[in-house]
Amino acid sequence: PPLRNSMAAKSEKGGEEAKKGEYTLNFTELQPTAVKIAEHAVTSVLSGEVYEAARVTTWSDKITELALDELQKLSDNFKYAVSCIIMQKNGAGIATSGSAHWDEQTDACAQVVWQENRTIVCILTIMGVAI
Amino acid sequence: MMRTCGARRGLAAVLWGSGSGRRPGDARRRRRRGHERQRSGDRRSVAYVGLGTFGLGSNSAFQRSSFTGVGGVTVHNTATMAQAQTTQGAIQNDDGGPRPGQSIIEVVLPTYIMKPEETEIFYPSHVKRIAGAILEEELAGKMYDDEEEAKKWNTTICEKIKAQVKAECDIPRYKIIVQVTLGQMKDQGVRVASRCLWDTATDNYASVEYANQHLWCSAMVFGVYTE
Repeated sequence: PPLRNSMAAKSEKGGEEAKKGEYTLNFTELQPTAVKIAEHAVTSVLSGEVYEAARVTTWSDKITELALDELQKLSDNFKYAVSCIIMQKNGAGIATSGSAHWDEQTDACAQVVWQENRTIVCILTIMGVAI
Repeated sequence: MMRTCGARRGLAAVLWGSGSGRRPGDARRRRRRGHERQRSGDRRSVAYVGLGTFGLGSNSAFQRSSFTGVGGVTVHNTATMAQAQTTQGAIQNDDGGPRPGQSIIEVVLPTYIMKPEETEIFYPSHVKRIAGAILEEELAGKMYDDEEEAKKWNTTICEKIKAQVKAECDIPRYKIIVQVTLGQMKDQGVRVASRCLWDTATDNYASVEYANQHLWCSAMVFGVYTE
């Protein structure tokens, strides 16, 4: 109940809720926005950078923090797990996969693989789990 | 559903254990208490509510030792439907289920559980052990040769970890997310990081790493509680 009241109050303000007129408990509806959030988070931190082992920790902290902040504003009906993999481009191979035991109708994951940099590859995965 | 723990009397106790039921008004009282609390966890209780009118007088209804619907509430644990514990009465079906012509309303009773039990929470140490063992088993002595193969190993490891965690850790109300990253060892720098927005009292994560001469692997298991 407290959650829903706050969502109703928020629907006056901007974003997804106002357009829909009500809150959503289905992360698949928010997935495209989540992808945009992910892209924005990575680009704002990593574009134009060169891979430096000393700075990688700061970058990953910043990216995940940015992503979570935006996600929190997006909707508070979900619990989020954001995972970020930053790797130096060296010709090495990498593979990521995920498996989940969740409610398929309400929970989803959004992923961005960012390779626009000459030296860095970043894979950002956002998993949204409905409360 | 037959569990009655502590001071809480489940619906079962009301129907079968009370012993009374021979006084007029008992049936009405039981029907009114249709939504008693019960500690049923994942087991659902299904109540058949009879909507028909039944011709027997109230006296004969109360003579049965277990009360099942004279236009009242029949409650069964769906798993034990076959073993009907009710006595055979003139107006019951053999399996204790709904009578012909009686409409069925299935009611799933609320459990009122607010948080997981002590034994049913996500213990990271436990999950770490499981995931570590699976990584060792799957990747010992392997080389990162082929992209397609690596993908297959990845998904296999993911599925195995998820299945093991579900089977071994008794965490029925948890959603489990597993993410596995497998990479080639080529003197590159890597960082795998994660950040979560959740309820720290109930949710947790476990992460394990494995590395050999040719590849490295990182597995993250997130456990998220759902009411």
